[in-house]
Amino acid sequence: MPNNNNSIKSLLVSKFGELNLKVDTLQKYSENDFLKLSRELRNLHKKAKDIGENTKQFIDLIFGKKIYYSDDEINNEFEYIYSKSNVLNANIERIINELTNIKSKINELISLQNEYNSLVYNIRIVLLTEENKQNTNYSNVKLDNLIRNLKWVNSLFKRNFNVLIEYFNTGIVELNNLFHNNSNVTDLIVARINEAKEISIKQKALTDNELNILSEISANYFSSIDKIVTNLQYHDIIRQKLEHIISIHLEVINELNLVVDIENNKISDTKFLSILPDITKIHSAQIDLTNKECQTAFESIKVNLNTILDYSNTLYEICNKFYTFSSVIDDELFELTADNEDKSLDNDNKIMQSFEKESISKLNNINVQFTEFDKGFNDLINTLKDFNQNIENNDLSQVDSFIELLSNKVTVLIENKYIIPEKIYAKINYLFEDCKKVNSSVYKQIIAHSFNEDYRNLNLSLNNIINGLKEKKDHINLVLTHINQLQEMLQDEINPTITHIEKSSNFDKTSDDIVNDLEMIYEKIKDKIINHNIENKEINLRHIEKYYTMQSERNIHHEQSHIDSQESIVEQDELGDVELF
Amino acid sequence: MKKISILVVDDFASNRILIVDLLDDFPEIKCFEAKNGQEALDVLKENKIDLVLLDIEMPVMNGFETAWYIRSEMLLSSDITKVYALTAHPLEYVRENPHFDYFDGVISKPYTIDKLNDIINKF
Repeated sequence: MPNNNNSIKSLLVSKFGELNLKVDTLQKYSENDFLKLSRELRNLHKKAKDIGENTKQFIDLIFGKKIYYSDDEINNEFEYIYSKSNVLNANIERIINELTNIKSKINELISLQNEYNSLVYNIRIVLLTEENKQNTNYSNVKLDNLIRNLKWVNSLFKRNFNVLIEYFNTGIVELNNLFHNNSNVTDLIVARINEAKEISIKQKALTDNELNILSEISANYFSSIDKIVTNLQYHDIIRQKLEHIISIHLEVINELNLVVDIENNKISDTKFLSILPDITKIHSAQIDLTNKECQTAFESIKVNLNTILDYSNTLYEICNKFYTFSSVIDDELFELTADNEDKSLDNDNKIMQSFEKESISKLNNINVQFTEFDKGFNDLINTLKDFNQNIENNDLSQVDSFIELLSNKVTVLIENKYIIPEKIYAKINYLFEDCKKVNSSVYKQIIAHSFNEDYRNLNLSLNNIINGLKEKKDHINLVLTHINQLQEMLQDEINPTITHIEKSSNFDKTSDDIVNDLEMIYEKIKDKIINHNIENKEINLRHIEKYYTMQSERNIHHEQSHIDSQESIVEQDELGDVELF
Repeated sequence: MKKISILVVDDFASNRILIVDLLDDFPEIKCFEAKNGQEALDVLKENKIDLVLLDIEMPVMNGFETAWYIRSEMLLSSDITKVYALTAHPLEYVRENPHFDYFDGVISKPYTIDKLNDIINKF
């Protein structure tokens, strides 16, 4: 018997030594290999989180830009544009009327000038006709020359009036164009605002449909990432559990060594030998459970990693979709700005500036010509006065009624000389003033009500948006590229990690090996080591319980050692923290 | 959130790194690390620490002894420095210890980010 006992004890010492080496291998596995896995997971966790943060940033960037038009804003814009357009068109109409009035005044002027001119002609015709009829030599070369000159100046004068009229006609046509252009521009701006509204509607539709999906996916994605944090802690817990088993085994070995040394003396008093079958059963169950928990953790990691990968793919796809959509909107806005640049109404300023310059210059010409005409006319009047005087002085009363007629006409002419030129001068002056007034008014009105400034502001505002969008687009592009890189890196790294987890079969095999060894030891000793003192057995079992500091270890201990588990019911944490392994 | 200093005490480097990484998301938090109770006390002597996350099982000086020293010898009250136990053990095991009352709370491993956030948000 002593020899048998001795051989069993030696076997046990050796077996527990081997066993401890194996458990130690598992623990080292946990400390080293799992630690490596844990580092990989931490790295993946960081990348996944980085993707999440970048996605958040991306969404903020996409939705942070102001290209929405609210209904109120649109209505206000429409109201403003229509009222401005109406004022401008009313002013253009008024200016056209004023120009038409000036035109009619010029026509009056022309008729006045014609009247004046016909008077001179009448004199000449009378002179020539009567001269021929009477065959008398009343002809006065000087008078005739003067009349001829006057005719030439008058034709020049008339031509210039016609040019002015023509110019006014052109001005009216241009103003009419301006009128229509203004209406077109109004329609154009309204259309632009409607386009912007369409863009808003498109984006809103996208927001409504996609954002919910995106936020749901983001939430799931972050939840999967958070789960990795829990996964990251499992190896430490396994390590600790194995450490507890090793501690007990070391005590068992120490005690068995002690028992072997003193041989047959105190076998029944040992703490561990008598409960070795229980210890092997407990540890077998413990290792089995640890292994199962480990496999569950691996599965959980795999699921989480695959979920993260799937979600990151989906997030990237949705981000790309947003980016594409955003680019379309940017392009539309860009086209809108470019189009507005083309449609800029600088023309109206040019028209009005040119009109003002040309009309004043033409009026100046007319004034100079009229002065010349007036001077020539003065000479004519003086000659006629001399002529009249000459008739009177030479007693030509007998000549005939022609002289009388001529004399009368000259008298009327002289009288008119003081009326008609004054009228013409006054009218030309009025015309000057009117033209200046109209020009100034036209200029002011056009400037005040032109859409140029609005276009400039609209373009400036659109340009600002475009520039902001370009900057943002570059930023978004960078973020998207970063997400893509991270996503690719994540994909590259997740797969090796999953492969790494597959290697956990080593852990699995070693665990199975230990469980087999423990069961083998149990089979060998269960009949040979019999503890007759149940009380001692329970005390000894309670003694080893202190090594099991984790809930699952304690539960197994209670189950396997048949100790009344009621005594050791553990209260649950109020915060709901439960042991995973 | 005001600026807070947190000391993470764990003999297992991987555990410390994990917590420090998680806390890195909070710009207001400054992290200190120690790998056992003794090192933790040295950090506490040199720095004003608002929260200590203290692992229970550690060599040299375990979590219970460290908590006792912080409260009884360094006389750091809970108003100045909160001390949370960090453990994979069941709460019962922690509560059984006579030094349990020196802790302001217990964080069970494996903990979640939310659990950590709850504690930090109290500051």
